Amino acid sequence: MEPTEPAVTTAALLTGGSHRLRKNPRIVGVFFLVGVLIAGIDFLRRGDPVPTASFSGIQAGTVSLRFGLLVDVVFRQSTPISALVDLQPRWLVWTVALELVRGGALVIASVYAYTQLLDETATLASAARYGCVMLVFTLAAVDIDSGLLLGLPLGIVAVYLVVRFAPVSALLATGTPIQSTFRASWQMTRGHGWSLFGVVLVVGLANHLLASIPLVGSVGSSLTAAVHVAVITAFVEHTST
Amino acid sequence: MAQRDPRGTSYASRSDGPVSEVAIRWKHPLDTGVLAFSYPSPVVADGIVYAVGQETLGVDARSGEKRFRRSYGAGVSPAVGPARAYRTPTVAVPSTRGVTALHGHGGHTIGGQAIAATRWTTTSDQDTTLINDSSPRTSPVATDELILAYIEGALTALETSSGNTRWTEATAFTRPAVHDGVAYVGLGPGYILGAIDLETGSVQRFEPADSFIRSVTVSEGQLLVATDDALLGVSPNGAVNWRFDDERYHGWGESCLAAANGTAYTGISTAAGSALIAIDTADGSLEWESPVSVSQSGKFEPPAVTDEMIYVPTEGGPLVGIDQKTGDISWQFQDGETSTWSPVAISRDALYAVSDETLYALEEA
Repeated sequence: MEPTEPAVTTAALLTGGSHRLRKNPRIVGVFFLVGVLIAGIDFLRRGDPVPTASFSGIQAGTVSLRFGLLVDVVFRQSTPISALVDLQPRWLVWTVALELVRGGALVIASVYAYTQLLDETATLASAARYGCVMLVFTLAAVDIDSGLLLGLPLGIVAVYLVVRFAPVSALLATGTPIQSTFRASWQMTRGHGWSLFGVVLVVGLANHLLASIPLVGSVGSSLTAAVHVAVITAFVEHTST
Repeated sequence: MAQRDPRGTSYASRSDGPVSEVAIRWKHPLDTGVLAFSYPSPVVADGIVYAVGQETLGVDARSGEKRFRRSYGAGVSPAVGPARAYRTPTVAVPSTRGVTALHGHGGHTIGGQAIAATRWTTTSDQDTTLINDSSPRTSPVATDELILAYIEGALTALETSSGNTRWTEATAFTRPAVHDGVAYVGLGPGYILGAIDLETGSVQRFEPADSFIRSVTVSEGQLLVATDDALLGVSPNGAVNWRFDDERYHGWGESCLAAANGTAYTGISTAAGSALIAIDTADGSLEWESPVSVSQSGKFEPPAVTDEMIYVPTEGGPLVGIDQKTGDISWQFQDGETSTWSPVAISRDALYAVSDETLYALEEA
């Protein structure tokens, strides 16, 4: 007799995710390699003459939740869009290529992991679709410094949206068209908000804390991304049955 | 940058500024703030004049065409230096919160809105209070792909292209003067002359005098060190070559030197008020004294020098051009009611200066 899946609680989702990773250790290995690649690119970017924005971890006295609509790995050195203006061609190519390599590696790892765990087939189209959405989110990302009065309500809205669209990454990776993804995600998460909020809290906090480790923070963040994929997979499977 | 070059000479060797009479080539409005009692010198680099006040303005040096206007204000001049990864220089604008580096041509403007103007920034979120005012009083210096700037009180070497910090020196307190890969600077507790290796940040310390060091300028391989009570000629190894402490002059701490062709120039306090003096840097002897009252804002404003002329803002009066050989006034310039002038920046055949919410380009009439 097949063991029955427990109810959709935060603990059950985390346990389910952990169970799935133990059964598929290759996924942990893939995200570990992605983390090493990202840490290596961080190292290269620290030494080159193109400006970077450094990740502010717990050393800066801040704690935040790092849980994205798509699978999120912290780049300790990222490139502000404004730093690309007036770059000499060779440094523009270098910088964009490095960003595409690590972004592409994250897309491939995410699509591979979801399709493996959900027993689906990875396609070039779904990977491209996932990559396009990630690019749009990256370009549209804004850093709002609004103080507590405005920041708290904005933060609550942001967490609410992350919770309601938490399955978006899994749906995109397994071939759901973009326009259907958000609607389906909204319907799937109805009634499961608090459970998913717990997931966002645990995984998002772990992501921030592990990413704060000097030099190899991206490896820790990438391993958290594997947990992200596994937990969302557990949620999608729960709500699909 | 302020005082023109990394050595702080204010000497424009290949320039021919106005000699006998001046006219306005162009002028632009500049928001300098209503309570400004002095103005930072404009800076000319890569064919663009950069002027700061409550904003940063970039103007084509020759045509006067406005290149950009950005909302980054500063109380001291910016430093402009070449950036390895970029096609345009980096403009380092210091503020109470750190340094903001702008793209040399101001980034882009879309629909009247400035976008992507900044290249990098060291700014912190810490607010400045009236009690703890950390406003930079020393202009940053651009040299050897580095910006040397005071950030939260510490002299910091920032890579011009990336903004990465190479080293910091917490006890430095004067404008660095750079010579042969070394930045010379006054160090705490005050009477130490420091030689900081630009590459490594390692410091060699000298004690050329027993009074406070107020400024360092490099002229033809020699350091001109103004202390509280004298001007010293010092070798890069710390040996004192000569000392100028003529009793007719006092307040060396407020002096600010320019140096060219074996002569140093500075405003200095006298029994009658103040004067502009020229000192032979070979032996520290007085060449001439001019009765010109150089504008003073805490310190005397630095003169700007070409091979023929010296240009200085006068106290509450006009901008003047002075014959370098004799110290005689060749011309005076005022535009209507203008009363306070910034130090002058020189490029080719034009002078650039700020007065009364206006950036001026002046040329031979």
